[in-house]
Order: sequence, then C-alpha cells, then structure tokens
Amino acid sequence: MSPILETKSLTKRFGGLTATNNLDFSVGAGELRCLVGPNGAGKTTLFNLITGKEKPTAGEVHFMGESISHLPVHEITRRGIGRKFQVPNVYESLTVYQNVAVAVQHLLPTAALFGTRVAAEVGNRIGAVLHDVSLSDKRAMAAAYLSHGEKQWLEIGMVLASAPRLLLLDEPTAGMTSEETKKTVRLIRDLSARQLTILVIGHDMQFIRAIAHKVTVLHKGQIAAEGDVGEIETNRLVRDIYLGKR
Amino acid sequence: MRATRGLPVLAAGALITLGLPLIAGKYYTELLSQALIFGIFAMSLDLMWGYAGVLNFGHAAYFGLGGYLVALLAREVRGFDPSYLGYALSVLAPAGLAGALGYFLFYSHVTGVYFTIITLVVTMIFQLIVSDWYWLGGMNGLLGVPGFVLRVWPGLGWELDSEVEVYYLLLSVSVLCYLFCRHVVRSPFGLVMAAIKDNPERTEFFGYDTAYLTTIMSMISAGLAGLSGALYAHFSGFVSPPLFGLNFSTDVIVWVAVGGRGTLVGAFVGAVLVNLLKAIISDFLEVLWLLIVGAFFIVTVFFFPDGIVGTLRKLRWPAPRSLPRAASMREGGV
Ligand SMILES: Nc1ncnc2c1ncn2[C@@H]1O[C@H](COP(=O)(O)OP(=O)(O)O)[C@@H](O)[C@H]1O
Ligand SMILES: [Mg+2]
Repeated sequence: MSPILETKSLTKRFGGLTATNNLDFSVGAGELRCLVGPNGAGKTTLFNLITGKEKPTAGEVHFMGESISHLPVHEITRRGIGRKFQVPNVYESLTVYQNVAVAVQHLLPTAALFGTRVAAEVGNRIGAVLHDVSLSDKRAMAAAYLSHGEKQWLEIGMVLASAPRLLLLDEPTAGMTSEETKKTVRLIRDLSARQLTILVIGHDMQFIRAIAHKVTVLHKGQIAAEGDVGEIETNRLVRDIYLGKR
Repeated sequence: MRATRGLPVLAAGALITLGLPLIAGKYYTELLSQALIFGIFAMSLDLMWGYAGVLNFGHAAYFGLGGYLVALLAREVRGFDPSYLGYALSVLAPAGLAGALGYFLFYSHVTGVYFTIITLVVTMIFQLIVSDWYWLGGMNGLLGVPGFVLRVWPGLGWELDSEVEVYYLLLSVSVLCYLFCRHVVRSPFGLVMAAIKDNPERTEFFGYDTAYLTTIMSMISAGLAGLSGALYAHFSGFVSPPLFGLNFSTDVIVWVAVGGRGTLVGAFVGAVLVNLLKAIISDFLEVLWLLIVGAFFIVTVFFFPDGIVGTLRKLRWPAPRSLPRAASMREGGV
C-alpha cells in the first residue's frame, strides 16, 4: 500500500510546548487507522496540521505525493481531505437537509452556485447520505434541535457528502450512548469497506477494539507504538502511558 | 402550501402599491417614489447584513458613488444621452470598489467591528473629497441632473414627466431588484452564504473560499446600492456631499432593522414607513424627529429584533419555519 498521507519531520510548537515533535507518520491508501493517546498527546493538533488550520513550525505534510503544508484550508479540503471536528460542528440555523446540501455543493463550480436548480444527482446524493446516517426522517428539522449524537452523525454525513478521499474523524463517538457508539462503529467499518481511507481518533479501548484495525499510539507529539489492536493492548509501554506512568 | 398562504398578502400588496399614486397626491407620490429608491438601497444593505452577517457602516459610499457618477456624466457628456452608460457605471464602479475592499479586508480576515469601522472611514474619505473638490461641486453638490428618460433609440425616448409615471417606473425597478435579490439568497450560493454566516470555519472545511464568496456577495450588494444612487440622482436632479454622510449610512441601517433584517421585503417596509413618519412628524416637530426615530429604532431592536416583517412572519409561520429566509428554502430549490 502506497501512503496517501505522510508527515515528514512534522513539528508544531506553541510557545514552549511541543505539541507535535518531529513526527514521521503515514497512512496507506484505503486504510482504516486508529489514532489514540492520552489527552494532550497532540492528536487534534495533528489533524489541524494536516488540514491547514495550523501551519507547522517545521516539516511537511504530503497528500497523494504532494506537499500541502503551504495551502489554505479550503484548498486542502478540495484535494480530498474531509474532517469531522471533536465537538460537533454543524450549521445550527439550517435544516438537516441544507446542512448536507452545503457539503455536496462544494463540488460545483462557483458559477453553478447561481443557477436556479442543481442536477437531480445532487438531491440523490443528499438523500443517500441522510439514509447512511439515519437522519432521513429529520431532514426538515433545524440542526439545533438534534440530540448530541445526531449532531455527530450529521457532521459525519456532511463530511461524507463532500466526497473526500481521506476522512479524518476526531473522537466521533464522544458523548454518544453505547447504542449510538455501536451504530457509529458499524458506519465507519461500512465506509472503510467502500475504499475510503479513514483516520479516526479514538479515546477509549472499547471503541478501538470494536474498530479492530491498525492502531497508532501518540504520546507527547510522537509515535509511542504502532501495530494491531491485540499488540497494542498488551503493550506494556502503552499501558504505562495510559496509566500516566510516563 | 406557503405560496398559497402568501397569495392574499401578495394580492393586497400589489393592489396598494399600484393604487396608491392615484389617491396619494403629488407630494406623497413623490415621497413614496423616493422611499422606493431608499428601499432598493436598504435591500442592498440587507444582502450583506442580513444574509452574510456583515454590517457595513459606510454603505452610503456606494450610493453616493453611483449618484455622483450619473451627475458627472450628465454634466460632462455632450452629443448623446449618457443615462444608460450612467446606470452601467453606477453598478460597476461600486462593485469594483467593494471587490477591492473585500480583497484587502475579507482575505485578511478583517471582520466584525473592524470591518464596520473601516467601511465608515471609507465613506468619510469620499465625503471629504467631494466636499473639498470644486470640480465635483464642493459643498453645493452637482445640480441639473435630467429626469428619467426611457430611451429606445438615440433620437427616440419617452420622458417621464409626471410623478405618477416616475412612481410606476421606480416600482417596476424595485420589483425587478427584489426578484433578483430573492434569486440570489435562494440560490445554492445563498445557501452557502447562510452557511458562512452560521459557521465560517466549518464552511472553509468544506472547501469553500469564504473570503472570495463574501467578496462576491458584497460586490452584488454594492452594485445594487450604486444603482439606487443613480436612480436617486435622476429622481432628485442633484447630488451633494451628505449622500456620503454618516447620517445617511445610519438611516439605511435603521430602515433595515425596523423593516426586518434578512427578509428583503423588510427593507422596503422600513424605508417607506420611516420616511413617511419623518415627513408627517418633522413638519411640526422638526427637532424631535431624531429623538423619535431613535426611540423607534431602540424599541424595534429590543422588542422586535426581527423587525416588522420578521415578526409578522414568525406569527404566521412559527418555528421551525421561522428559520432565516435562506434556511427555509424549499428542498427542491437546492
Ligand atoms: N492553539 C493552541 N495554542 C496553544 N496550545 C495548544 C493549541 N492547540 C493545542 N495546544 C496544546 O497542545 C497540546 C496537544 O493538544 P491536542 O492536540 O488538542 O491534544 P489531544 O487532541 O491529543 O487531546 C495540549 O497541551 C494543548 O494544550
Ligand atoms: Mg483532541
């Protein structure tokens, strides 16, 4: 598997704090990868660096063989990196349907945005996404009225609707009931089966076990361990990190 | 559903706007005509304030620019009637100015109160220039702008010389401008603007160049404001420095707030109502007028933050239909 995403000696400092430390990290095309680590390990910062929200202090991010570190957020997104934020980040004042429509429309050229009607396939795509995230019944509801878990799904749906090549999910099951978590895990595995490359930040072992794929453990902005779930679970170093011994 | 329920309102509105000049008399017909021009101006502000969430405190700069361009052309051009050229320039020049401002401000992420202050400074610079430059008329402004002529051929034109004809012309232009704005805010572009207003960061992360799109919206808004300025020059026959003034920029904000921000129609309701009140009250209470309009403004903002039109809509279509206009766009429209 050739890597679709690679970071090369990536470093990010905030004042005296090094959130990402000389990181060489890569994800293969079509892979489903879990990223774990204690709070403050630098997981979200890594997402910020990949998507251009933060510029690296040193090093580079490569996506599909090209350096993207110098690009603004919207251009990185246009190259095919979709991101779901840690805290649900949806358009509260728009309906569920419109939330997804905004995401789908970015595929249109600017001039087409002024048309009266967009091709039926856009509508079909929105419908399909709403079905995927089980929100078809609530399409006419303002997103503000959704439950926390539903907002998480809506945002996942929106990111899917934008047709990314690489999907970044930051703690997608945070705040979900165990039922909702199960459903989300199923959705993620489903998406992975459709050839999408997924990098998902998880916070508990249960979630990671359920996803059951390759895991990268991040600690103090560096890779502490990498391997299958089983290996990681029995890894002594990882246990120490989680228990706060290191 | 919504369309059929709105039909009686539409019919009543059409009847009133079409019938008014027949009973209003010359003075009030002219007042209404001017209020329509101000309504177009207010609607252009609403595009930015109500739909992009960006308040321009110097919106009068675009209006004044459009008006002065028309007046200058009328004075300088000999040999042909420059009014159509004037309309075109009065749209393009303000749009160009807005494009330049957007390039420097939105691309540097200057928003909120900083944007508001800079736009205020821009219009004050314009006011200084036209006040001090003799070629531009100085404090006296530029006089002698001809009235409206509907020209179909260089030698063949129809002069609109009665106030009723002028009213119907301005009413038609207002309706066209309204339909144009309605299309803009209900188009996919309008939906993206609603998204940017709601959550700019999320929208960047869907691949939208939010600075670029906001700049386009402000160019549309400025072009429309410039057109209303051009109409004003032809309507009143002269332009003067107060068109660039802070007072005028504030007035238009009041009209939009009173009529209902983010409703388009509200811009006209606010402009007509406030100007009508002003004409009636300031006849005998000139000094009190500012106090009264100030109080009126504060009452609307605090007790009816959605303005007259927004409040009426909420009464008719309670939540969740009372989402912002673009938001209640029908699904099929996407
Ligand atoms: N914008 C920022 N400014 C200053 N410090 C930051 C910023 N973003 C993250 N940090 C710090 O970087 C470290 C890593 O944070 P983060 O990547 O959010 O961790 P994680 O997502 O793994 O919990 C934390 O110590 C955090 O306080
Ligand atoms: Mg985090």
